[in-house]
Amino acid sequence: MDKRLSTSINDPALRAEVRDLYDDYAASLDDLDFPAWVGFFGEGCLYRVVSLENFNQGLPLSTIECHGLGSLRDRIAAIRETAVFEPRTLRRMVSGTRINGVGVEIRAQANFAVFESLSDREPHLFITGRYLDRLTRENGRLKLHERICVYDNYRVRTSLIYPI
Amino acid sequence: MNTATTPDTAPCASASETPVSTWKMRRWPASRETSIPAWIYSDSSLFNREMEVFHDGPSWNFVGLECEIEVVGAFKRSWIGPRSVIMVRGEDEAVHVLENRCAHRGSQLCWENRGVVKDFTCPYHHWNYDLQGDLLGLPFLRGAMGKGGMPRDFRKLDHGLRKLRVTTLGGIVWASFSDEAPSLDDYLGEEIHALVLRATGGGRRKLRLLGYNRQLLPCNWKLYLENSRDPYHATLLHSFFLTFGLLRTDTAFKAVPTVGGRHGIMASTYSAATAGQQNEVTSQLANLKTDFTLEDMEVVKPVDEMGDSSMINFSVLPSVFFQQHGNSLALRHLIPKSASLSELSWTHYGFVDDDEAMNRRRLKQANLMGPAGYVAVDDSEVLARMQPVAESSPESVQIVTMGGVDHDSQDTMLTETLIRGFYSYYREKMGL
Amino acid sequence: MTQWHIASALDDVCEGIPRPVTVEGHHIALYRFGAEVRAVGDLCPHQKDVRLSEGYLDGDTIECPMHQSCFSVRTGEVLSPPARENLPVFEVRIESGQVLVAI
Repeated sequence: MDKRLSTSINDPALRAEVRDLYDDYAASLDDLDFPAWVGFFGEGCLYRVVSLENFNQGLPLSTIECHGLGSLRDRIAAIRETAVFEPRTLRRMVSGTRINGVGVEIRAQANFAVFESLSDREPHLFITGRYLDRLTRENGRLKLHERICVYDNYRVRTSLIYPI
Repeated sequence: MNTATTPDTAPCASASETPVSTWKMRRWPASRETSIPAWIYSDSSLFNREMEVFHDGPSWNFVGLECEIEVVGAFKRSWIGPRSVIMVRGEDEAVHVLENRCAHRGSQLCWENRGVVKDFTCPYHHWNYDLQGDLLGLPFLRGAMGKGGMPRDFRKLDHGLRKLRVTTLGGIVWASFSDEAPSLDDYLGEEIHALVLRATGGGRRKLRLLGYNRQLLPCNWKLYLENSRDPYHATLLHSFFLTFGLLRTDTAFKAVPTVGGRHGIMASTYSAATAGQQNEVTSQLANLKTDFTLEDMEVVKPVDEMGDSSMINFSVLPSVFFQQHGNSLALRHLIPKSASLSELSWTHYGFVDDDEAMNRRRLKQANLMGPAGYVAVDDSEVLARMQPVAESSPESVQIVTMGGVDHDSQDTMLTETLIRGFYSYYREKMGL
Repeated sequence: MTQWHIASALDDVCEGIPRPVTVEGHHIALYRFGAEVRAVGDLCPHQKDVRLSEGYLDGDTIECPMHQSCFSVRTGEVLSPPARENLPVFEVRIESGQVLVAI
């Protein structure tokens, strides 16, 4: 897996489309609209949340790993139905959208920063890192075939409840 | 106080007295065996004393895995209690563990988490040590242009890094700061020693590192330790377990404190055939989700790789919990940072000869564990909410009488015997 | 192709005192033993920006001032760690009061 992907494609329209998709993705999670979140992914997708440490060393363990839409739905169902956690508000900031390659699939990346406000405490930066994505078009609409969220944190602050 | 002396010449009162640490003034509640006072989770002088007793003292600490440092010069930073240490493969091909502190002025010597080096050079004054921690050289030992330099009687041999005692067992590196610690085998005791080998392929299989998960827990280390020795909460807090029959209150279960409560074992016998199912007993529990099924059931269908239909998890004081959840094997390194903060570092592993299917299973089932774990998340959330309450009511007392008042082995999950056992050991070692 | 270059006047190379020179971009130190002169590389292989000639000369052993790696100035051989590589040795000729080295 490439560790550093350079911007090589100058396609303002595509970049704007991808940037908008990223903003909509972040909004769906901020709003806890999980069906919408799953809707950003294509069949047979791969979704991983992985530490920079594991990523740089090429280690296979992820903090979250979902193969396919069913697995994404399972993750949501487990959060909703079984997990016990303090109420919180998360707000996701996405920036630095870049297109790294086009072809059968589009390779793109962006930075993310998630601020967490627990119900009786002030916001803090919870987690930050990069999205490394492969997108394909399904019926004209861009879908995430693969999203790897590589987080810079050495340690996660307490718990990672919701997807990134 | 002598009132005849003038303020200018009166001796400073504290200079002639040793300050009394707060913890020495504490008294454990009268019902010693069955209660826990909340001040043990917040008193910082007590925390310092715990670090001396349990991490500096005659104990063996988890450091890392041999397979993390395969070639000569490969190193990895780790922690023993609040102290940074370096685990390194020496020129003799043996594993060495060194305190990560320059012998000169105490700067942290090694600033990288891992790497391969020929020697260690301190960033501050460039004192240089070999892979075993001996001082090889320091800039301007003899001065320059006839000025400066170290005293003539300076001997490099006396100024190496602090070297820890090291033992490896099951591909795991253990270290101790103390010459008083018994052998690792004696420290672990027979039962734990056998379980360490069971968890690591009997010493016949080579471990394969799958990766790390790390989290900061805003709580005292003992809250996590208790949680990892508390089968009572398992089916109540973790409804995920219950829903999928991964842990059932009707399962054959043993809670076994060992070595006077120093370590604790939780062993359950499950049936791979019934895993993933609910039954009569479980259907009565309030948090059971009867209409909740997973689309990908492989996450909750382990195979019996150990061949004994058992899931055995055990806590080894002071620093490591051996996890076997289905086929997700991990070593949870508990690293105390302060009275109110701990780090939990999970090293997930498999074996070099795992086939593709087993490898996939281990990675998939890891979704139950770690900071985003379907199951583990409940623990970190609960503990994060316990700490501020304990801090605000240090004189409050918790009761641990589930399953009785002693700390012997019990054949039920509905017991706090492991916690009672730990605190019996703790009080003895701490003099509380 | 090896060529001979003037490194120093012979009178400037004194017994017991390393003489650092730069010849064709190479950092070299000259060591005098009676009528003989030896030439070895002057940069420590362990930490390459350090001049051995600023270190401690004891007979025909030079000790690096930084971490006390020792080398023979006759053969260039490394004698003690942390350095692990030998020093390059340069051929020397003395002609008409000049010390020449072969690069």
